Amino acid sequence: MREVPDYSTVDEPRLVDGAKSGDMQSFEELVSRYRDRVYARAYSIMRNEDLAVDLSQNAWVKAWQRLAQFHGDASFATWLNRIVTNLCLDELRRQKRLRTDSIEEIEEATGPVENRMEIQDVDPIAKLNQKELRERIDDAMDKLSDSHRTVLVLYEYEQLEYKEIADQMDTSVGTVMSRLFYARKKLAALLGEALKREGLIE
Amino acid sequence: MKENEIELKIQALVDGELTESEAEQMRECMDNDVRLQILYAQLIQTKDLISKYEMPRVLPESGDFYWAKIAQEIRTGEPTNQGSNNSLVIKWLFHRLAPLLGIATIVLLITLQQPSVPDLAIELESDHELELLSDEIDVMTFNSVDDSMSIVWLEYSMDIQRDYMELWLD
Repeated sequence: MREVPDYSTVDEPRLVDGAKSGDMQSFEELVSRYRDRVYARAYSIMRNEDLAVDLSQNAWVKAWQRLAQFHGDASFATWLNRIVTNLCLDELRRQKRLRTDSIEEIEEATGPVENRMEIQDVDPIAKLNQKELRERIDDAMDKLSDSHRTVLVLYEYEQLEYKEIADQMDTSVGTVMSRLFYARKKLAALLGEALKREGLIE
Repeated sequence: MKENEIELKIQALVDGELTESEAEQMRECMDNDVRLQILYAQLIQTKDLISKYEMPRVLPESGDFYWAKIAQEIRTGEPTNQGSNNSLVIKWLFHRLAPLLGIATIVLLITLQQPSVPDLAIELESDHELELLSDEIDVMTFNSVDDSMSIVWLEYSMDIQRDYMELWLD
């Protein structure tokens, strides 16, 4: 009797090779290893559970169809994240959510409100535990516009360079720099406001 | 350099996106400007917070259910892809052959219609009407005995070649 392999113990390159040769079980194992990560990336951009699930599933289907194009230049996880990120950007474009609101455009050009605010000593965040801190940052990310949040996600989480982000978002490097700057300042201000409300800073 | 440009350059310095000479230039700018030093520190802190404290997320549905949908898409997608290849071939053939098919159809129609052309060698009498068997031609007849005249209106489909009709009426 033929022995059924325990896929959970198989290393990633062998699973990828198996999937490339059409073995669905190898691919299923890859999905089980990275599904949360792919979903998390989709959620970080879309901020909607259902959309993030759908887009992450689409990303897996696309990954299966394009496995022959994966040559291991980047890690499999990075390659997958690129696919889901592209699908999210397409969806944002389809929903016309990448447009920057006019007020934000003006602020980006002339210097945002946050620039004129007194710079807070954000040291009180040390009083928060990691979970609390994550929640505060996530709340602040939620309040950013789609275009600003997307730039932040691509730069900080996906670790793309300015030029790569500009290419992916069909915009200029200058716009990416400007949006990234505004997004960071806005996020710091939102975080400061939250800490102030909680009495952690005055 | 404008103030806004300097700020963006400071950010680029934090992100490691400047060349060595540009970075050196920005460090010199910061040496003489406390505000820029504060901005630099704040950007580093914010960058650090965002990159280190991403909220971990777990799929809000069971792994089996999630996989079942992916597997179904993959399985239904494969024949569909093949089907789409076939339909591409059919489309290609259609585009290539459509003009030929069109010409062949016109020739066939003309050929088929020729035997159904009514024989107009009719000797008109005082009280008569023309009747054509062809469905594509409507006929109305007006007779005037006094004027020894008959007028016949023919209403025909545009599918029938005009030249052919003129020839036929002659």
